[in-house]
Amino acid sequence: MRTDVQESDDTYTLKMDLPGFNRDDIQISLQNGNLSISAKREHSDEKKDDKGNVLRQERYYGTCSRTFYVGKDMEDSDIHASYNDGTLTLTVPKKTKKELKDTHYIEIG
Amino acid sequence: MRYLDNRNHDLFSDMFDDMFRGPITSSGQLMKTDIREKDGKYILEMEIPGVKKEDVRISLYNGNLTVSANHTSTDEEKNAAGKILRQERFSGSCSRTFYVSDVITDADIKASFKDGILTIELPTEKKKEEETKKFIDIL
Repeated sequence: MRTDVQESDDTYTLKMDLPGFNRDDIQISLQNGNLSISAKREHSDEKKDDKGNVLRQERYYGTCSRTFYVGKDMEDSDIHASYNDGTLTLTVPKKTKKELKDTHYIEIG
Repeated sequence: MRYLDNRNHDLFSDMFDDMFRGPITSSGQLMKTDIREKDGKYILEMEIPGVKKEDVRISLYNGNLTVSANHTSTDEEKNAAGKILRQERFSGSCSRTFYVSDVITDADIKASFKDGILTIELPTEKKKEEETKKFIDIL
């Protein structure tokens, strides 16, 4: 899960190498400001037979995940993801103070 | 024919062990490849993430199958993306060569590229085309 992180004026862009995964097997979650990317690629026994005689295996099979802290104020809808040519690209906005959630005041009854 | 069979088996077992290593960088091995044999074909699956199909080249010369890939990004693209905070992914060009025996021709090899995986198929066995006797005309 080699990743490049780039910063522009208003966004952070993460590009992660995830070759040969199904789109459905890549999960991105956001919890407590932690952005987690996990990906799964499995070799079931059935598939092995189907795949024929394996002569060499260098590629990784199994589950892998990686977490980045993006700040607690980030919401799911702020983050955009795309998967193309084996690269997952995530765009995370930089939040300025103005954009932060307004503090909710509770009226005194 | 038997000789050819044996030779073809060596192809993916012994012979590759030495030469069969992808380019290695500080962040690990590149162009990781799985090879399997199925229905009379060898199937190679090579990881080349983040490369466009046009930037992958496959060549066959003297029985050596070479895959080269070029991870390019123009300066404009780099500037657009902004300041680099972390770079782990490989950028540049890399190549890897496999010996596939000299009886294999371009026409025997099929390749496809999807989601950063290059899949190459080639026959496990191929008879050397029988050389037909050539007769020379007596003038």
